[in-house]
Amino acid sequence: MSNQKKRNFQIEAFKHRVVVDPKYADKTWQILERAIHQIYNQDASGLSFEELYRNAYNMVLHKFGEKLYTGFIATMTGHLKEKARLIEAAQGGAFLEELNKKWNEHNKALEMIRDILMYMDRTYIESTKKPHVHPMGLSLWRDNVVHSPKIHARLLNTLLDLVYKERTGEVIDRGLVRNVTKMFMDLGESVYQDDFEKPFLEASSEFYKVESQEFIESCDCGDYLKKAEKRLTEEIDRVGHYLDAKSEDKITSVVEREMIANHMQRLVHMENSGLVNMLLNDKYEDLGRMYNLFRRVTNGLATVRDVMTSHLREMGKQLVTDPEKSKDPVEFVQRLLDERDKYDKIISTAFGNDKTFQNASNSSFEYFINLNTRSPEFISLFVDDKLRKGLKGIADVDVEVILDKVMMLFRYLQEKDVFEKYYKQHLAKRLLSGKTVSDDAEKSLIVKLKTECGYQFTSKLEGMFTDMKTSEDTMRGFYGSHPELSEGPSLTVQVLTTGSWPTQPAVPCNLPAEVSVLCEKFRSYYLGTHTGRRLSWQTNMGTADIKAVFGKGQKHELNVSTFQMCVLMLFNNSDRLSYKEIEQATEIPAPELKRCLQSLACVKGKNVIKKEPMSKDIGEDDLFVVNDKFTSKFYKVKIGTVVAQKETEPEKQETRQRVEEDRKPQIEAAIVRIMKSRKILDHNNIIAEVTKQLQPRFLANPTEIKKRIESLIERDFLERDNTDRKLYRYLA
Amino acid sequence: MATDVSSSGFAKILKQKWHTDLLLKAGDSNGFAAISAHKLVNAARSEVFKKMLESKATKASSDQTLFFSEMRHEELETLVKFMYNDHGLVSSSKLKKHVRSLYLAAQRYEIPHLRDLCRNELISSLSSSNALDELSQVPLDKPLTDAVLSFIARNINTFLDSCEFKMFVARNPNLAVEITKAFLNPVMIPSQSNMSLMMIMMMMMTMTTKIR
Repeated sequence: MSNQKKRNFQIEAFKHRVVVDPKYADKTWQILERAIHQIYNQDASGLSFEELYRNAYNMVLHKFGEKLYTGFIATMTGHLKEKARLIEAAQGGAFLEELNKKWNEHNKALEMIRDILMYMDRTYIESTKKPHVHPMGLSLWRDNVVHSPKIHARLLNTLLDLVYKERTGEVIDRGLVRNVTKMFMDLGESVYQDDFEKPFLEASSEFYKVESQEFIESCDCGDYLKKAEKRLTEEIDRVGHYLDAKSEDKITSVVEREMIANHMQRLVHMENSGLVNMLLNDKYEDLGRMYNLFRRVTNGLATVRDVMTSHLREMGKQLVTDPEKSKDPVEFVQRLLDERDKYDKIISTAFGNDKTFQNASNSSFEYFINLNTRSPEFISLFVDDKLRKGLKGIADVDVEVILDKVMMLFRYLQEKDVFEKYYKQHLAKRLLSGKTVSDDAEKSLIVKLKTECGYQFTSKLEGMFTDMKTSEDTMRGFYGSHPELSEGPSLTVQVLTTGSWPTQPAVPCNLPAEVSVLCEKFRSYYLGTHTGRRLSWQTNMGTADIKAVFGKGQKHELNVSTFQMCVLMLFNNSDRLSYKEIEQATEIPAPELKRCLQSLACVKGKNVIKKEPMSKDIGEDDLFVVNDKFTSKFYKVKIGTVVAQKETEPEKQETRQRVEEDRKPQIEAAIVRIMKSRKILDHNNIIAEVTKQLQPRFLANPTEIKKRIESLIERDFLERDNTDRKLYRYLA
Repeated sequence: MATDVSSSGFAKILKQKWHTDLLLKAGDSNGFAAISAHKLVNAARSEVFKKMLESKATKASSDQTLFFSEMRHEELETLVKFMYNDHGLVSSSKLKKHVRSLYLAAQRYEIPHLRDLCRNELISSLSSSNALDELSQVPLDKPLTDAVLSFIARNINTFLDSCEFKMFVARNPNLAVEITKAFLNPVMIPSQSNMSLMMIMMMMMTMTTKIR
């Protein structure tokens, strides 16, 4: 052993070693303990932080961390118990204030203590995995104060009582409550939830259960909803002011459940103030409120929607099946449009354009419009009325709006082919009588129909317009090549292509001589320029302007139908004529003739001929003379133009039959198309496919489809499978 | 070596005592003037200093004074200088002189840079004469402990013969175990090591029996 070593050994060894003496540990702890007392007693100004810190540090360094830790806990617990006693002793309103004050004091003290014990926090506690100083301090507060038996229940009840007071209109100290709820949150979310939030929600639930019962007995629907909305807003406001943000959803769902979900049915169906009443009276504000409140609960909107749908269907059904309303088709359709507008407005104003509601509304309209089989006809008549006179003086933009609305109704129709038939008829009459208000409007509607239904739907209609145009050119050509005809009666001919126009049987009629000569000339001219065509005169669709001079010299120009012209021209040669004579001379069929004579003789103000006897109906033995005493304010008198009227019963039957006939080939074409691509298909699937294909035009009847299949089998387009009677095979 | 602008800047205002708001006194400062410094700089460098200065309950005079009774004035001065300019301290003689107390202070007041600096200095000055003393000092952080242990382990033969080692083992049996552990990890030198190991074990056993 060298001396040098020895020296080093001795000199260095004990220089900075601190004596590890248990008494030292006690002394150090006492210093710290005293400091903690002073801090809690608000008397810390004389303390030196660095000295305390160093003491704590040394304790831990010399392995007395545990003593320090347990000592800290014991001291703090003692103080907290004391504080709890003081809080318990507080009376009435001072209770919360005292709690709050002590809480703040505790927090400040805890912070200071934590700083002093920082070294222990980072080393001893880290390695032993015990709770850190700050969380420990909070748990001690929780266990000794908040959960102390005398304080726990009282605290909760005080808070709930304050909330109740506020709900019943009193003003409370919100800041104080906020501090307390914040304290709960600081102690841990589970503390907040268990010690406050859960009981709070239960109490609120009770409160609203009672209140909603009171309200619903005494208020009508609109008022009730207003109150519910107010309570909801209040609760959200309450959360903002003194509860934790996470409580918002929970409390709002309590209110929604108690005030709305539990009384949903009763509210919606309330007599005289429920949903139906609101809809009828356009109560937009109430409806909007209902929508906003009900959408918060499950099935809320579904309930509203269902009630609206059933009401709409019921109302619509009454509307379309009411015989009174069906008297005037234009009125009928206008009513439909008005209802459509009404519900559109309700859905856009109050229901926020909710798609599900729009769909519900659309399906309801579709349902009841198709309940009346005459809807397609009526809609066409409505359009006819508008295009004849209804659109006069209306700006182009508004015209478009009206036509778009009509298209909306058109879309609801299941039997679109019926509409097409009527529309063609009405259009033909409009064009031929030259009574259309605006060509542009007509064309615009055709375009809309084309967009909706495709080219096929409108090709014939367009053909009609083309014919009109071509006829004008033809007439110019005719008179151009026959200049000598400019004297004498002038003829205007519309040449109609048979396929495009509604089929009418050609009605026989003897034209007056002057007229038939002219007609023949035209026929030869036309056939000269167009070979291979055949012309037949449609005498039931023509009009004539006749100049007449009556007994007292009154001169009038009469605008009459072709039939009427034939009848009147007869009176050039005889003064009196019997029904039979007229019938024989003109060869006009009886029903048309009777109508014609009625309009000439029986209509006040237009009776250019007199009838004997003066009855309304035309009898076989009636006699007719010219009414020499005929007067009229106007020079030009219009007599009984062929106006599109609602069809009579037999006419209606006829049209329907024609529609049914037209459907047969369409069904067959669909079947063949489907079978060609599928080759083999069973019965039910064919029905389904065919129905789907034809749905844009009409609703196919399964029985009819079956008949068509049988017919196709007979004609060797299809065959039945040998083994399975339900399978069909396509025959190439 | 120290070329960054900020450190020269900070050191300058310390020297100039420009707008100082803090006084630091050491245990034996009665014979010396208090050291003037800035709260901001010191708080920035040590979390504990920051807490000390924050603490509202303790004395809060406009020119706050902090007492460090366990340190000597020269040590405290070196410490403060370090707070303002760590680069300048690296090779200074002051560091070598006070390395031990500065290391302890750095541990206590959580000044990581200083602690690392001191540790490196201690490690580089390890020798067979002071290694054991180092080990028996408290506190040591892990890197330093490891360094000392491996130093001893590497030079185990030097130690085995000395009386100090025997006394050391007698007083600190747990530290002897640590030395053994360090020795066994990571690299083993054959035959010689076995012999040495045996000797340590024997010595430990004899020592402990002696104590009993």
